[in-house]
Amino acid sequence: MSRAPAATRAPAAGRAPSIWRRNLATWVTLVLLVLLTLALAYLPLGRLNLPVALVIAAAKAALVAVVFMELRTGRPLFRLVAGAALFWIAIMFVLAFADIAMRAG
Amino acid sequence: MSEAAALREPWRSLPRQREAATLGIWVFLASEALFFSGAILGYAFSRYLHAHGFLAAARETNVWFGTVNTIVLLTSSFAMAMAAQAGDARLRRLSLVSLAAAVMLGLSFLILKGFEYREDIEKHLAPGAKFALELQGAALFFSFYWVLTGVHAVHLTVGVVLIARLLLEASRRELPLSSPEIQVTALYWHLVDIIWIILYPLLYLAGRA
Amino acid sequence: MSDAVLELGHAPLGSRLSYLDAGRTLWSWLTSTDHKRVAILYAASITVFFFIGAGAIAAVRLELISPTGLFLSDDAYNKLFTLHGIVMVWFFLIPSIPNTFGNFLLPMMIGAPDVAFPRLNLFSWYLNLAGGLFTLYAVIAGGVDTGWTFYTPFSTMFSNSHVLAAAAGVFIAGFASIATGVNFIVTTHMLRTQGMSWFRLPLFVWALYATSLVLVLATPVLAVTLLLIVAERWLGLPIFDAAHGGDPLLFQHLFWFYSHPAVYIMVLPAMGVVTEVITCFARRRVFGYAFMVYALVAIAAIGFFVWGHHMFVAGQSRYASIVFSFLSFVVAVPSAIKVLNWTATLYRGQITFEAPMLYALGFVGLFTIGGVTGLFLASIPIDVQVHDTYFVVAHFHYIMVGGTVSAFFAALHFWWPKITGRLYDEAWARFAAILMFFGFNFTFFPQFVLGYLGNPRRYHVYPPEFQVYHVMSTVGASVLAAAYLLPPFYLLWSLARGARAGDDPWGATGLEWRTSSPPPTENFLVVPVVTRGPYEYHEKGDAPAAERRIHHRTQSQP
Repeated sequence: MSRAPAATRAPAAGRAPSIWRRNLATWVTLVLLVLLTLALAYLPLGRLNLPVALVIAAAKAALVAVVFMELRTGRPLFRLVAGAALFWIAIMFVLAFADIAMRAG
Repeated sequence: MSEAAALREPWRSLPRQREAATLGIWVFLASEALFFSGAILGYAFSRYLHAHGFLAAARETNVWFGTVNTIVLLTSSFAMAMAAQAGDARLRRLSLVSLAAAVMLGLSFLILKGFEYREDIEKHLAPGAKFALELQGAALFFSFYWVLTGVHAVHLTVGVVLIARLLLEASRRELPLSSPEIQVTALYWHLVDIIWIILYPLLYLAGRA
Repeated sequence: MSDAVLELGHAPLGSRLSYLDAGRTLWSWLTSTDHKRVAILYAASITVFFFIGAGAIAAVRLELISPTGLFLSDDAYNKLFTLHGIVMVWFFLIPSIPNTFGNFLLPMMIGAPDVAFPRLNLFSWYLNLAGGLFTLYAVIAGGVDTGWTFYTPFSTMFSNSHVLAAAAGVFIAGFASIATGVNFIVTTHMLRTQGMSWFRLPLFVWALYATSLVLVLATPVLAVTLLLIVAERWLGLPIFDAAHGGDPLLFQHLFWFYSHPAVYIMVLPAMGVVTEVITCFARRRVFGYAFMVYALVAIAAIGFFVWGHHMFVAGQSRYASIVFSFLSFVVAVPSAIKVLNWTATLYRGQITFEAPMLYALGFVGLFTIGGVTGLFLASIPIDVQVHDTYFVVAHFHYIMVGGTVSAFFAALHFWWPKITGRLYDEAWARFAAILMFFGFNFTFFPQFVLGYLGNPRRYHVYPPEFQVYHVMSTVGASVLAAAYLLPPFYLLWSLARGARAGDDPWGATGLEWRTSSPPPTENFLVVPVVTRGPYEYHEKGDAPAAERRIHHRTQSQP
């Protein structure tokens, strides 16, 4: 393992600022993204409204996963689990839509 | 409380037990993601087939409740991340305050949801005899609205209870800050947040343009 | 000698209590988190459910002796085959091998003292039981008539039977499945003993791991599907209702997204068992270990991509049907690789035909027939002809019963000495195995013919020209029933009067045979250290000598 598990790391006195920094910055970004997606929802983009909203949602979810859920610093195995979930959800949607989007008439 | 007392069979070291607990919750979260995805597939099918009525119904949700609740839950998730990471760094006071904030914000979400549901019912947005909209696909939207937000609320309630329990036991020093339970609960709570992040545009921002 | 680590303060082998002695009250059994005891709890409950499901279908097969029925109403008939399907799939087959033999053996095979989350393990049994009780309530209250597949709109809008209770029961039991999957995955990642690397794991462990991936990813989709049925039926929320715009196929997509991988939950552990047994009774290393591993994982993964082959005639788009058909052919490849490798494992082996081996060989043959007929069904033109006929019924029973149940009995006999410390009567066991093989084929082979000739499934009555096949099938089922009733007798008899088993009665590899029979509560008195790979029944590249029986090299000496 490349990094000692959290519980064995010696608690460092000055770590509070770095914890605040990254999580607060993430929270601010998330709130801004909420406001952005809210504003864009009222902009008539035609068929792009849905993809734009979903991309912003994906970005927010990624931020929560990577920073709050510590996916970036945790074991690679956890990233694999998260990736597997996403992959199988994609399979479900792609193959199901292969039916519904391709029906005759 | 000593770390040794938090050790359970068959584990021989707390860090290893904690790693296992984290892996276990990640695997469980994957299953939760699949769970919600099934319902969202139903939403997607219905929206695809009856976009007109579906989106007309989507405009009837209260975007302000939805947006405020989204920000509330994001903030609660932020608080929970602080609680877990501060706990890791043995910053006891920061961790406890963050846990308390996470609980309060979670409860706020539920209270706001309650008010929102009451308004939805008053506006006859629950499919049934007095359903307000007649377009094909409108009732489908609201079926998914009630199922998705209801099931999410159940998950959120479970999370609130779990965090409250952590707060109680940690403040009484019955739970060490290094306990796997804080990390596990935090990860669960973040998933509840992520689910809502996905539901927000699907249920509140659809059809607005 | 290996550098084994001694557990401090433990008495030498032989004077320690076994897990069976640690607490003799019912309460101690119901509250034990010992994975071996949880396994036995599961064994007890699945046995009860097996006989309930079997009883239901016994009534059905008796009824089908006559083309016009004998003693059942149409309604009762529908409820009985539904009961059979629900109980057998969710309360027997799915937990059968993983929750009994998986629970008992997984920690032992990797050299661990228990699973990762022992309390979750015990809780999963209670979840399974609660689900079963809900389902039994549905039966007693009057039954369910939707078939185990719960198709809408009949289940949500038109059935006048206890759909909600049955759906709730399966929903609850699903969480037992997910808990088991989580437990096994974490156990395999985190509790392997020193030296037990991934590619030294016995294939039963790999099979359980692959199964757990499916359990964790597929079961939640079943859960949400059942929830949507409840939402529509109980709360009146239109979801699948075509009058409100619901897509009739949405339910089927969601249902089969789980239910196709579910069949791999049922067969992957069985494949793991077969490898353990065949290697031991042929005294051979498994042929192509790495490909066996890749095949297990490939089956688990690709099994998620094929569900639309259940919907070829349901109105699915032709484009999607072709994609699903192609992928269904692809998923057969890793299964075929496994069959080839089991066969190749036998080559130049010193084969003996103890009961476990008879069952395992039976698996290979019957699974092959089931698998090949699956290929027929994957072909759209054939499926159009035989969909919803007895051909499909025969196909999946060849895999589920000819395959999984055979493997279950193989496991039961192979590991009986380890679990109970007793040896069963080999003559009776071989007789039962052979009887089962013949009874099984007499029951289900005629059904292939019936289906091909056009007899639909789930029909109470049928044209008289089909009667001869139905009678053959019922006679076969009677023989099969007799064969199933034999093992309880001689196995229970062995508990009282059977010879005591030593640590390793079969001369097998695997860490579970390196400890006493029955094992102590903590599985090993000395923590095992692994220095070799699995199935080392002979030196690599050697053929076994014809005259003398090869005993394997032990993996680690205490």
